[in-house]
Amino acid sequence: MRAAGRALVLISALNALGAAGACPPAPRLGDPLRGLSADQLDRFRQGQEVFEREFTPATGLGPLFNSIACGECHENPVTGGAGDEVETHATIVRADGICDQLEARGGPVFQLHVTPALQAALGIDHEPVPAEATRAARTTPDLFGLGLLDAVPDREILARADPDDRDHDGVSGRPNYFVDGRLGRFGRKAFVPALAEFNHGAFAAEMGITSPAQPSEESIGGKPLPPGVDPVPEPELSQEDMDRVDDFVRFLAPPAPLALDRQGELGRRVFAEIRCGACHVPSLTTGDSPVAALRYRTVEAYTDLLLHAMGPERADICLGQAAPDEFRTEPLMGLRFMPAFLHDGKAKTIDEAIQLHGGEAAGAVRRYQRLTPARREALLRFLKSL
Amino acid sequence: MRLLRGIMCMGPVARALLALAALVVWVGSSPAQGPAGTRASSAEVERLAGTVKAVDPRAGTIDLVTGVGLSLRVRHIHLPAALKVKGAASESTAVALAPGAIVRLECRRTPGGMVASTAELVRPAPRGIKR
Repeated sequence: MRAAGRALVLISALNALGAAGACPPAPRLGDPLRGLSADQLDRFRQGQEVFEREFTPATGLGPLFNSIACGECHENPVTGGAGDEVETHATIVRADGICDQLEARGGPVFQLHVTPALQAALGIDHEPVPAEATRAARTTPDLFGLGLLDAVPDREILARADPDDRDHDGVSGRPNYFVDGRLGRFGRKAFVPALAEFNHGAFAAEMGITSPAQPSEESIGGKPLPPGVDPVPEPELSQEDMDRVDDFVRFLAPPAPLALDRQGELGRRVFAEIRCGACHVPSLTTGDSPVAALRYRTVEAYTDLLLHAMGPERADICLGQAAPDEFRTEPLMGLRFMPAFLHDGKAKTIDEAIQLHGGEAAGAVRRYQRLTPARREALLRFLKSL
Repeated sequence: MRLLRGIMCMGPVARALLALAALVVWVGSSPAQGPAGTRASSAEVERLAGTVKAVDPRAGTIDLVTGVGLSLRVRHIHLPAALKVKGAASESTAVALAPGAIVRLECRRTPGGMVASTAELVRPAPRGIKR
């Protein structure tokens, strides 16, 4: 009886608290996650400064680069968002079936700009792509909520893999692996295992800025840089600055979906009925994390972080174990903010993006095409709420 | 304060369940401990993990793809003739370390370049990517 009495007292007290206080609003786009400590918030703000910092050749930019700042591309509609820049990746599937990522020849990311010093030395205005390579266009994705995807345990991703389609549903799902054998999850081909590594690699590949994690500049067509074109000693960015950028990206909150009306609720059911969710898994759960705001959280990302064949029409480059036609299921969180759709920006509308799915998604596309106009509109309304 | 805000966002049923859970703890149970882990690494030896890109058995070298994110590099590494590849079925390093294989190496830097002192096969070379 004493225990029951205590329970009643606790329930009453907590209900009183709930009635007295208002639930804090969801984070706005570009805000940090709720529940960060004062120190983590401070690191987030410091990281945003580095993320928005514009580099010059005198501060380490180049000599090959795609952009002068992280925030120059990841800017729409706020810092950390998507961008309208489209860059070039290129690889080769060798005769023995191994994917040559052209590491020794500047790949797989080929930079579109060079510094004046490199232009003067070599007479080039971009990094040359080997003629025999397959090229791919890559748009700039948004970075919201990626800290949560980083915190999803490998086992949760691997549990959904069905590489041989043993359940005969026409949808497989294969993991990709980084060059050292770790499970990949970031990038359009799920090649990069960890968010921090994606960030460190981006400084080198996108801005030509070396760091302790990547202390060497890339070669140009297999040849070392000409003398005098890279005046700043390596590493060009400190570990502290790298850590702050990691904090900024890791702590960016996922976009809060819009509230659904009846049509949107119907669309959510249609999404499940036509089995979009076989790949665009509505939610994943994070594991343990030193950051409380990332620990054991549900993230409504609409991805399984696995590779799926998208059909020969979408095929471009290989990367790691990913075949040319295989792409990681693109997360749909933040879909309403995207200026274009699919990995190459080919689709200008969500409807077009759905229709351009092929391969493992062919069945879902057929079911989409058979929907009544009202149910199709409902589905699009739901997707535009994400 | 964050805990209080979290409680405020709960529905009445969830708050009741929370209260009952708190009660269980109050009357004598120990709280569950979440898993924790730490990583340590030695800086004495340069450890590399990557994919074998090319093997030159005559020169006793391999090209190893390493890197971070989408910034990849090729490292040229000498393999002493006596080096055994742990985890490999074949005694021959050339067979064990075929292009596409994933290996972990401990290397020392010498005036002549990087020299492997230990090698472990993480994953044999695949038959090639699906095409």
